[in-house]
Amino acid sequence: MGAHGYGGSLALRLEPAPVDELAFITAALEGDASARAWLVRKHSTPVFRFCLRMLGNQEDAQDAAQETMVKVLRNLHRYRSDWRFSTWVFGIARNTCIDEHRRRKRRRTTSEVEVVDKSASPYEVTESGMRAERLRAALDELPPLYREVLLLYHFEQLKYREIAELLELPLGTVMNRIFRARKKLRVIYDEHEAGGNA
Amino acid sequence: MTRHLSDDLILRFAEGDLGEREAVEAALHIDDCPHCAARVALAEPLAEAFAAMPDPVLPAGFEQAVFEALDQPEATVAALQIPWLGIGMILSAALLMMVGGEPTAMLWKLAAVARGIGVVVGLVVNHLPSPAVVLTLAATLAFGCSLTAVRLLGLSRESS
Repeated sequence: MGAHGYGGSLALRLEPAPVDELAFITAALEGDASARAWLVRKHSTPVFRFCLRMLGNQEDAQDAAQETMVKVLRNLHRYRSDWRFSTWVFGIARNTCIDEHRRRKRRRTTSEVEVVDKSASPYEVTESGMRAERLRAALDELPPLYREVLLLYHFEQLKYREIAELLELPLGTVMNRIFRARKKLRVIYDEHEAGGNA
Repeated sequence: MTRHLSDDLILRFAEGDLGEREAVEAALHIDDCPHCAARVALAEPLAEAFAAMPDPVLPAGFEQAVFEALDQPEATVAALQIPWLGIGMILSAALLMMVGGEPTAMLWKLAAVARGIGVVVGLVVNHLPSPAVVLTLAATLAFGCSLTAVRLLGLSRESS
């Protein structure tokens, strides 16, 4: 059964991009600079957030997010309005992160290991800050395949069938992946918690 | 599925303990039902940690950097070289068949010439008006022709 087997495409068609966004997309395609600026302003933060959590590095995330937004503007004519625009944008961001991840792997083989500051930030001192920091660390340890589905659902508010559509996978496969990802995340999180309390 | 999901199903969904079919049916319902989606979010063991994650701040000057990058031409030279490499291989194979030689040596020559032709043609396509590129191409072709001529001359002398 393909990604469309559970009606993913049909469901996406029922929820097209909001009319005002479609108007901005059309205007941007016609060369309206303010419409292009509006699209960049609206989608840059979610794209940067996704890239940062996928790549775990501010500089790489900035490059990937910037590249994503450039690709979005250059390929606007390829956008089909039966998809939510943000889902289409995340598809581009995901592919860009995969490319960036590959480039980074190649760089790591030739350069020294990146030095990461493991000291506690002021934010970590509070209880909720410690929880968030543990979650961030646990997410970083998840394989990218698991991390991306959790990020898309929990932080970017994509629906399950939108994730299936974006990944071009059957919904059942996506659900299995999400379930496995959540379980693995919980195990890693608990290990960090136990380590922190020890 | 029109009714709300049962508490048991919500808990098993949040724990990831459903079979594929049940999970898909529940997911389709949750996608369209904010009430059940909120119940699942509350049942998620790491819900508080997810809620506590701070939103990263977009780096200053990000949007401006996007538009500056947009004004730059797309990097297409490398992509364009790939098809030209294939054409270069065909041309160089034909050239080497004319010239002849040892099979192993021919393979090395083939690889070198194919790469050279691919790069030169790719550059010409991307920077056609540049006189330097046109001169380089002319010099390469002249060199190739003279090599072929010398080889053919040698062959005709051997046969006579």
